[in-house]
Order: sequence, then C-alpha cells, then structure tokens
Amino acid sequence: MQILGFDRADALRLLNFLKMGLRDRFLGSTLGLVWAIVNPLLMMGIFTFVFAFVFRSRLPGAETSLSFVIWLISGYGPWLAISDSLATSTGAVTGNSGLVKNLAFKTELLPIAGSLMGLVPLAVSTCYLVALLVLSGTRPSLSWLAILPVLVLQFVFITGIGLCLAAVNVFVRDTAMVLPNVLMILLFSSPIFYPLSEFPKVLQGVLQFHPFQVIAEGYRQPLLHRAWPAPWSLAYLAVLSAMAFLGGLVFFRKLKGYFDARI
Amino acid sequence: MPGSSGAGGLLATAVPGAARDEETMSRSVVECRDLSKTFVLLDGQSIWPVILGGHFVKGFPAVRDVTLQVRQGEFLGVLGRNGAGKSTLLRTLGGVYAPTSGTVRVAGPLSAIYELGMAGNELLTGQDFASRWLALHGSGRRQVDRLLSEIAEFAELGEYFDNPIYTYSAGMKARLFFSVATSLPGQIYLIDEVLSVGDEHFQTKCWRRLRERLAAGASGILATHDWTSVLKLCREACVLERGRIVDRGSSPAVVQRYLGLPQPRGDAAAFAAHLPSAYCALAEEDTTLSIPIDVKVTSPVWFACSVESFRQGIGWSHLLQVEPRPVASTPGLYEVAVTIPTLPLSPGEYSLNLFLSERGAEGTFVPLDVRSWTYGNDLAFAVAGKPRESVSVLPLRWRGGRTQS
Repeated sequence: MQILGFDRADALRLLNFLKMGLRDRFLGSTLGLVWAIVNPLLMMGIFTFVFAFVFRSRLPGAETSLSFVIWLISGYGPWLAISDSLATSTGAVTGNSGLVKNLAFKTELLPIAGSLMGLVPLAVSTCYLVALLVLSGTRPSLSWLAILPVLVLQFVFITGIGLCLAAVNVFVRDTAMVLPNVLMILLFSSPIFYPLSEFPKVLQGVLQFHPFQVIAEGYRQPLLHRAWPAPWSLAYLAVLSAMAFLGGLVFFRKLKGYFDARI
Repeated sequence: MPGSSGAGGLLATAVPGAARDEETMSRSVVECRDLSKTFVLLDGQSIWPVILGGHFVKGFPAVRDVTLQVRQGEFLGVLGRNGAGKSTLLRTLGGVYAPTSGTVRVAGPLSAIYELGMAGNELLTGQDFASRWLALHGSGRRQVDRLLSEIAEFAELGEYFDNPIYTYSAGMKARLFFSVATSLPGQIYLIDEVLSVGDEHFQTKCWRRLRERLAAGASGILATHDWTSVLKLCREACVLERGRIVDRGSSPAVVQRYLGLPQPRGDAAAFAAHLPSAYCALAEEDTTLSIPIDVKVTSPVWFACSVESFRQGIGWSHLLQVEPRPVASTPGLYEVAVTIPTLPLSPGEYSLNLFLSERGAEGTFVPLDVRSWTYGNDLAFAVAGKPRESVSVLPLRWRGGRTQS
C-alpha cells in the first residue's frame, strides 16, 4: 500500500531516522537525552520567572501574573516546536550527506523526520503547561484533547515548509543561516508574546489569519477556555496544511534529482 | 585482437544465441540499459533556474549509454582509472543517484560499499554504527542482535567495538565498515575499490568472506583500478573510460587490453588457422590433443601447454603443465599431438593454454604465438565423465594405519 508515494518500509525507515536524530543530537553529551527535556523546560522556567515575578505582566482583565504566563506558554510552547521543527528539517538533507550519498532511500524522509523532532519540545511544554494549569487551580478537562487535531495540522503544515527549506538549503546553504533571523521576526510579528487585541486595529483583521496565530489559538482555546477552536480556523488550517505539505513534497521531489550536484 | 573474440576462456562454451540470451536475461540480478547520468554544473547564476523551474543549463555527463548485466552468482568487474565514472555508475545502479536516462533493474536486496566513509556520526561506537547500518538496511531487532556478535568477531576490534569511532585508526574503520557491509548474506554486492584496504591478514579475510558469499549465491559488481582483484574475482569485466564502456569480455582478455600488453605477432611460427577454439575429452581416459602449427622459419620452435582453471574468488590455478620441447625447425605445417594418459581431471570446464616460442639469449623463451588466458585468448577444454569430489584425480596409492596403540 502506498500513500503519497510512501510505503511501509518508508514508515519503518522514518522511525529509524527519528531515533537516529534524537540520539545524534545529544550524542557525546554526558547527560544525553536528558537535555531534550531540560532545554525547553529551562527556557519556559525562565519565561515564567521573568514574566510572573520580574515584569508581573497581566492579561487585560486578568488578576494574576500566572494566567499571563499560562497564556504565553500555551502559545510559546507550540512556537518552540515550530522553530525546532523548521531548523532541524532545513538542515536535514545537508547534515546527512553521508546517508544521502551511500544509501538508496527516499530523501524526503529526512526533513519529515527532522520536522517530527519538534514533538519533543512540544510534549515537554505541554506537560509543563498542564502542571501550571493544575497549580493555578484549573481542573483537567476532556476538552483539552481538542489540541490533538491542531497538533497534527501544525506538523503537517510545518513539514511542508520544512521540505521546501531543506531542498533549497542544498543549493543555497545560506538558508539555514537566515532561518533563525526570519523565525525571530515571525515570532514577534505573531500574536504569541502579546494578545491580538494589543495590535493596531488595522492589523488585527489580517493577523487573525496568520497561520501561527491560528495555531496558537488552537492550543489556547481548549487549554485556557475549555472551548473548541473556531470551526473555520480548523478548516482554514487544514486547507493550509494540505497545500503546504503537498506543495513541499512536490517541490522537494522536483529538486531532489539535482541534489547530487551539491552533495 | 585477432582471433580472441570466440575464445573467451571458460566462456567459450556459452555460445550467444537468441534462446540462450533470453534465458540469461531472466537470471540476471543487475541490469541496466543505455544508462546515462549527467551531473548538473551549478554556479551562482544557474542555481535559481534549477530551484525555481527545475531545469538546468550546463551538465557533466559522468556515465554515458552504459548497458550491462550481472548474472546470478557472478561478479562483474568494472575497470577504469580515477574519474572514469565507476563510482557514479555504481551509485546509479544502487539507486543513490537517479539516472538521467536509461533503465536500471536490480532483483534482490543490495549491500553497497561505495566508499569507506563511515556515513555516520564519529561519536557512535562501532556497535552502534553496526546496528544503525543494519536497521537502515531493513534488519529487524532480532537479526541485528544475531549479526552483531558475528560482525564484532570478523572485524577483530576487540574491546574497541564499544569505543567511539573517532578513536579508531583508518585500518580499524575499514575493517568495521567492510564487516558491517558484508554481514548480510546472499545479497547483491556493489563494491567500490575496497578490497585493497587493510593489512594482509584482513585482506585475506575479506577475500574469504567474498568466496563464502559467492558460494552461497551472492552476485555483484566490483569497480576498481586494481586489475589483479578483477582477475581473481570476476569471470567477465568491462572497462569504463570517460563514462562509456570501451571494452568488455572475459576478465583476462579485458585486463590484457586494459594494460596494453604486447601480443606476439606470430611471424616466425603460429598456431594454424584451423586450430579449434575448444577441445573436449573424457575424464580418466587416455586423451590426445592434436594441435596444428604453422612454422615459417628455419630455427627450432618450442611448444608448451598447460591446463588451468578459474574459480571465482580464488583466481587461476595450474593443473597440468607440459614442459617446453622442440617440435619443428623447418618451415611447414605440423601437427603436435599431446597425449595425457588417464586424464587426471574431474568433469568440468578448463582453460587450455598453448605456447610456441624460440630459445632466446641466456636460455630464456621468447614467445612466438600464444593462446593463453593471460593474453585473453585461451582455448576451452571441456571434460566430461563421472563427477568427482576433487578437481584432479592423481594416480596415487595410499593406505592409513595406526602407528601407536
């Protein structure tokens, strides 16, 4: 059976690449995989400390700083996953040139595996967030499961972009250098650090269609308001993800025949 | 080379024909037709058309119109100098590079050794590298566990097997890599230049492993500039030059032409034109081989002959040899009759090698005309009869008994 040109053997290989990626990233460090959990945890700990105790930031109408931190992390956690996914998948082909040159396999599996690596920081941040929620007195709710479809769509969307970037990076290695800067600009242009209502009125109309805003809301609605994300936003995200993924796959497959000129 | 095309060593019995051809095609495990691979040449300006439109301006043809096939149980030798396109050809056959045009068919699981680069993280231990390589080649956990101890033993890394690869010497890396890449039995092997690495002890082991794999039915391609290993491993070979196959045939013939060895011209004496390209005989029967020769000078002409055999992975070995002896000293047509009483050979295909020479200064023999595998024009010698365990059947008598109780 084949789905989009991938079969069972490819799925197994993808799993192997995921394991490889996880091991290689932290290989040689004494604590090894512990860093996969400690790094995002440390980052969010710092955010919690800075915004809750130093800036004492509050959401409009909210009484505690903790609610701001929860709001922030429910958007920043997915963002952390997105930037991790994009950075890893962009370098996935060039970074594994040894494999690409010596093993016959579908190279598109590399950026896909790279993108899935973002699941680790996402899992960590979600656990941290749930801990914060419980700490702030919120009872766990079944509606939290509504983040699952958003999570799937997010990874499909990001994998599509990752496929494009990975292919371009083979020819223009600057891509991987520019990416962190672009991500930084994207982060501050999206309603992740400050609520949509703080943006100028003119921008608000446009920004609610910003994919990252849609994704962040997809996490915030179920986790903070026990509500399903707006149906239109899920449909919009689904269309966007499908387009990004298929487009990325087609683009990658078109270019991969030329990889041997650069690898 | 005149007269060599029909006498390709042991292949002389494999008469090409339509039916035969079809049969061999169905048994071929690697096959390509009109295979070409062009590398795109990219500079700062030509990158963007490729990225945006997927078309390119300049290309470098590394492999051009290559058609070849490897039959089950055989290794094909691909000879060529550095940059002739050997590695590109192997990678294209192995599916690492997509062919620019032409077709590739590989029937069976591949194990490829394109380079001794470890293709992995040097921080991995030898054991981690081995299990990763096996997993990426589709081995399940149980098979990996079983093969790991075998790999450790073969690579002779001792406790280093559990140390990171960056602590290895170049020879140790080569050993690890070869052991891992040939650990899966019964495969199709694509091997690029690696049989000349490691010390003599390890090379011997590599050859033994290849012989074992061949005996178990493995097939493959050996790409190298080392013609000695082609002679040892491959019945057939081809020469690649600037991406094209410029010569092909039986390995000895191809190697002889590849090295540009001079061929005796046969001016003074030669084997007659009606010399058959094959002889046959019955095992353990008295055998007489009649060899027609044509002498054109008035001086002693010496004749010698030998029966040799080729076995894959071992190479050529002498079985019978007739010392040079003078057979003629005046011009004319002669017939040399070589009689072998109770032919001590098992049934099978052998190579008959004939030499005509004159005595040079200091008693050396100067060849006048030669039919030999070393010149790629030997004669086939087919022996029929009752199968035997050994290659030769010598008239020995022996008895065994206990010397001490």
